[in-house]
Amino acid sequence: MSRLLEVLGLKTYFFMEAGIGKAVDGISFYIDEGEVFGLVGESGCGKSVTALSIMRLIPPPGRIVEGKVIFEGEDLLKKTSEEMRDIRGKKISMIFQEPMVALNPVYTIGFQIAEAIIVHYPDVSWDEAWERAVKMLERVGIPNPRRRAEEYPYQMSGGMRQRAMIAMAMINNPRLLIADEPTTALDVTIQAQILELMDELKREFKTSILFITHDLGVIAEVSDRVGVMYGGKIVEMGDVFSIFDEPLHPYTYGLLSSLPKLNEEGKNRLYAIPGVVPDLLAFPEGCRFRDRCSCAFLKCEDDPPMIEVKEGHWVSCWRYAEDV
Amino acid sequence: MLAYIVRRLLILPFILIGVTFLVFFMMQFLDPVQRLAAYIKSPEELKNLSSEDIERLIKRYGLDRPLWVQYLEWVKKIVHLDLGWSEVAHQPVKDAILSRFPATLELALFAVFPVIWVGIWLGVISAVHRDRLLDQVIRVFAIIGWSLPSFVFGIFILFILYGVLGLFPPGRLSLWAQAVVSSQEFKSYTGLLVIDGILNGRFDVALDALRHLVGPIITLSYLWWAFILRITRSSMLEALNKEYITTARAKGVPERLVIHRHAKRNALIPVVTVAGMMVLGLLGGVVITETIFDYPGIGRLAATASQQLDYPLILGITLFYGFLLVVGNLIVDVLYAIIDPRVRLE
Repeated sequence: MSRLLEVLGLKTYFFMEAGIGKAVDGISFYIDEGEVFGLVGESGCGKSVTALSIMRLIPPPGRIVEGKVIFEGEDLLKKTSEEMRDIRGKKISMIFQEPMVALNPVYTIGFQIAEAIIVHYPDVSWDEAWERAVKMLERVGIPNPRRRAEEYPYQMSGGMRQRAMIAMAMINNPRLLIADEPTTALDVTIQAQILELMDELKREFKTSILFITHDLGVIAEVSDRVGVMYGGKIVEMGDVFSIFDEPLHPYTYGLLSSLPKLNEEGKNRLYAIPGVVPDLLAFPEGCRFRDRCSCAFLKCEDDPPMIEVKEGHWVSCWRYAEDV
Repeated sequence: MLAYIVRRLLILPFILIGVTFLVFFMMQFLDPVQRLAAYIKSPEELKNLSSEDIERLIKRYGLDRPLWVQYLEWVKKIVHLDLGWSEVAHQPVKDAILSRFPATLELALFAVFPVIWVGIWLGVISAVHRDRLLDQVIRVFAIIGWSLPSFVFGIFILFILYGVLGLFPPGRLSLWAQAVVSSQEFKSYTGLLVIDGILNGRFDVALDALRHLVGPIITLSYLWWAFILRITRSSMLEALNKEYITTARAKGVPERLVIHRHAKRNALIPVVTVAGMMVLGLLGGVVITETIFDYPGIGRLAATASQQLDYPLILGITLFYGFLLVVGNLIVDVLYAIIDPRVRLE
C-alpha cells in the first residue's frame, strides 16, 4: 500500500482576543491508500479542526501556522487557492455531522450533487450532471432517485439526507473522504446502514477515509488504524486491535473503561474520567492530560515525546520513556 | 407553487373584509354629522344644507340605525366605489385618489429598483469584506443615510439640484409640459407621465417628467437604500456562517458562486420582507418628500385631507391603502415562496 496522505507536525492556532487557542498543536499521522484512519476524541479536542486544516478551510481567526499536509506526494499547504479549490470535492471530499444544516435548504438535492460535478468539469452539461447525480443517488440506496433528486433537503429524513450527502461527496470519485462525525446525529439503526454504505463505497471506489468521531464503538467497527486525540495532540496511535486490546495512554485507557460492557452485571457504576476537558486556552503545560491523569508524575510537566512502544503503536506518555 | 398562490388568493377576500371592519370601526369614533360627510356627493349639496336637512339625511342614510345595518349599507356603497365627495380635492374621493395615485406609483417605481439593486449589491460587498476598509466606508455612508431625516436631506438635495445647479426642479411637470399633457392630443395610457410621454411620442415631456423625479428619488433612495443594505449585510453574514457554506467550499465551488449562489439566495429571504415594506410605504405616499418637492402624490393628498378634516377623503385613502397593503403582502408572500422552497410546500 502506498501512502496517500501524510500530515506532519500540523499546527492550527486560533488567534483570539483572549489569547491563542492551540486547537491543533503539532499532530502527525498518515493514511495509506484504501485505508480507514479513525480519529477519536472528546468534542473540542481538535478533530474537526484537523479535518478542515487538511481541506484548508479554517475560518478566521484560525490559521495553519506550521506543518505539512502531503497528499499524493505534494504539500497541500503550498498550493494556490485555485489549485486547492480544484482538489476539494474532486480528490478530497468531506461529509459532515448534520446533513440538515450541511445541505443548502434552498436548492434541490439533485442540483447540489450536479453542481459538484460542474464546478470541476465545466464541459459536462447540466443534463448529464443531473443524470449522474440520479445514478449516484440510486447507488447510495435512495429509493425513487429521479423523484428524490427534485426534492429539497428538508423533505428527506436524516438518514436519506446523509446518503445524499455521501452521494455528493463521492460523485467525483475522490481519493480521500473526510467524514466528520457522519453518524452522530442519526439513530443507531440508521448509523449501522450508513456505516455499511461507506464500507461498500470504500471498496468499490478504492477511497481512503479519514473517519472522525467521538464514538469508540463506531471507530472499532470501521477503522484500520486509530489516532486518539486529546487537547489538540494525538496521544496514541496504532492499529485498531492494539488500541482496543492494549491501550497504553491513560486517556485511551480511561475512554475504554468508560464504555458500558454487556457481559458485566449492571451493578458497577460506569467509569468516568475525572475532571473535564479544559478550555482551549487553559490546558496545562507539558502533558495536556496530566491534570486529569491518575498516573501523572513530576516528569509530566515537560512535553512527552511520541514513543513507538511496539511496531506501529505509538504513545505520547512519559511512562513509556526508557530513561526516566 | 400554483396551489400556494391559489390558496393565498382564497384567503384574500376574508382579509379584505377584515380591513373594512377595521375602517368601519374607526369611523365609529366620529359622530353622525361627521360621518354624514362621506355621503355628500357634490359641493352644491354641501352648500345648501340646513340643520333640518342634516337630520333628514342622517335618517335617510340610516346613520342612527344599528351598527350592522350601517356596516352593510356602507359596504354596499364602497363596493360600487362610491366614496363620497372630497371638499379638499373638489372632486369625488374616488377620482381624487385615482388622479394622485399614478404620480405616487411613478415615483415609487423609479425609486424601488435602484434602491433594491444597489442596496443588495452593497450589502453583499459589505458582508464579504467584513470589518475591512470597504465595509467600514459603506457602513458609515449607510448610517448617515439611515439617521439623516428626510426633511433635512430632502431640502439639502433640493438646494443643490435646483437652487445651485438649477437642473432638477420640484413639482411634477414644467408649465409647458403640463399644457401638453392637458391638451386633447395627449392620451393618458397609464397615468405615469414618463411612460405616457414615450407612448405619445413626446420624448420632451417624458424627459421633463423624469427631471422632476430625480430629487425625490434621490431623497427616498438614500434612506431606504441604507435600510436594505443593513438588512442584506447582516443576513448575508449569518448565511456565510452556515455549515452549508462550508459544504459548498468543501466540494470545490468557486468563492464567487459560494457568495452569490449559496449564501445570497438564503440571505435574500429577510430582504424580501423589508423590500416589500418599502414598496408599500412608497406606494402609500411619502408625505415629507412629496411636500418638499411639491410633488402631487397621494401622501400629500392624505396630509391635506387630515389637516382639513376631510373625512370622506381620509376614509377613502385609508381604505385604499388597506387594500394596497393586503395585495402587497400577498405579492411578498409569493416572492418568499419563490425564493424559499420550505415556504412553498408547507
